[in-house]
Amino acid sequence: MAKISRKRKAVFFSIVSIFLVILFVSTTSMLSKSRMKESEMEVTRTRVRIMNSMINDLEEVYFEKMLYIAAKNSLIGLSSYYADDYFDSNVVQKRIEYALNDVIHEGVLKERDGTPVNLTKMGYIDFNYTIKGMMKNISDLFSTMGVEVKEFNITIPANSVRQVDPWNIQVTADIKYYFADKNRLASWKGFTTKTVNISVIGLYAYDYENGPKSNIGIITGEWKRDNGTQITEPTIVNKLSGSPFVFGRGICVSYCQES
Amino acid sequence: MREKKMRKKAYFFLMDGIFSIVILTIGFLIISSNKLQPGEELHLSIAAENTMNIFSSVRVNELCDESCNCSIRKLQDYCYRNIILNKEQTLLDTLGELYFRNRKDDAGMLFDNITSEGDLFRKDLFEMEFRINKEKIYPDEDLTQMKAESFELISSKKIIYGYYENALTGQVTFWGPYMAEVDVWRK
Repeated sequence: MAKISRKRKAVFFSIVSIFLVILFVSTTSMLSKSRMKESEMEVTRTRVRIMNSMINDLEEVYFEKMLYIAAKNSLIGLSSYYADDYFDSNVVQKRIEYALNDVIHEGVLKERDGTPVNLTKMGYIDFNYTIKGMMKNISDLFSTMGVEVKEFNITIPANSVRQVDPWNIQVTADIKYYFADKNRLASWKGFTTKTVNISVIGLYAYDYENGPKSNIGIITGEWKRDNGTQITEPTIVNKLSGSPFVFGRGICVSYCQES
Repeated sequence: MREKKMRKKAYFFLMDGIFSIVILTIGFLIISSNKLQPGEELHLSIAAENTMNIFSSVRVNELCDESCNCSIRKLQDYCYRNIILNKEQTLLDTLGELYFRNRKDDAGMLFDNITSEGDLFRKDLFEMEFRINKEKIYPDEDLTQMKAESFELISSKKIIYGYYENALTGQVTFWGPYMAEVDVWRK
């Protein structure tokens, strides 16, 4: 009888110790699992935080710079293309904002009849610094971090290109973007309007109007503002729009000659 | 008498089991508390993000006047020597532009000088590495081993691109986009 009782007790203690070991092992594995989940969540949080800061940066600083670079690249290309064809009215068919809206995306100017003129293929515009070219390069960098560029669009509305002073052209554009994480953790969608003042240095100027053909060439910092009592030199925006009217003061190679 | 002896043995085994569980639990708690505290991780994160934010938000013309008097020694030197061509861009863009113009050593020295004079992080506690397009710009020495052995490493990234113009010739040069990265870890 005593033998049976002893055996029962031994079995009981064995069960209790096995139970304790199982309890300990399961608690340990649960804790390590929860810690793994916690660190996974921390990695995700860090990733989203890094991406958030990058997208904020793009919106606050780099969209503006992107607009500046793409618009300047386009204006340099357009002015050189127009200059090579003597600013002929057959060439300058559109006001600058419409021409800029055409070429800023991938360097293709649409003539009034719809014929496309590819200024990147003709060597006037650097494709890498058009919106499409820049977005391609930025998408490549983003994809290394697992982010996809779903949409990126820049539109230059009517009357949003103007000459603010002889040295600067102001361009305003609407920017729509949609970036998404490849693991579908987060996405960033937005719309913003940016305004930049683009220096006219580097653009090609030409006297297309009647009068002395003197202000020809790439504009440098050495050019002089038209300070005469009578305004004789049209602004660069005027010239690039093919407008025969003189609005605002332009710049000349050495000095602006009064007629 | 025998039953009493048996009971004693049972208590002894039970106490032994409980003690072993207590010892194992204490050991487990000691090992688990050995991981990096969230506070330290936060310090690393702040150091990395502060550095990137300062470099990407401060423009050269905010630190230098028209006559190249700058609050950072190296920046003043580069401004006088016309190494900096676009004063309107940020410090991070300036580093990107120097990288584009194949002046990686100048970029590294400028990064070192700004982080030292600006007291951006404690060099006695943290180690920092700055890269553009995966190429190491700062520091000069190889820290790969030290970085691999660090418990925690925080990284911050930004995309950079820009332009500079030569006012005398009217030539405009665009550069980028590049990926700028800062890694910070505890020494």
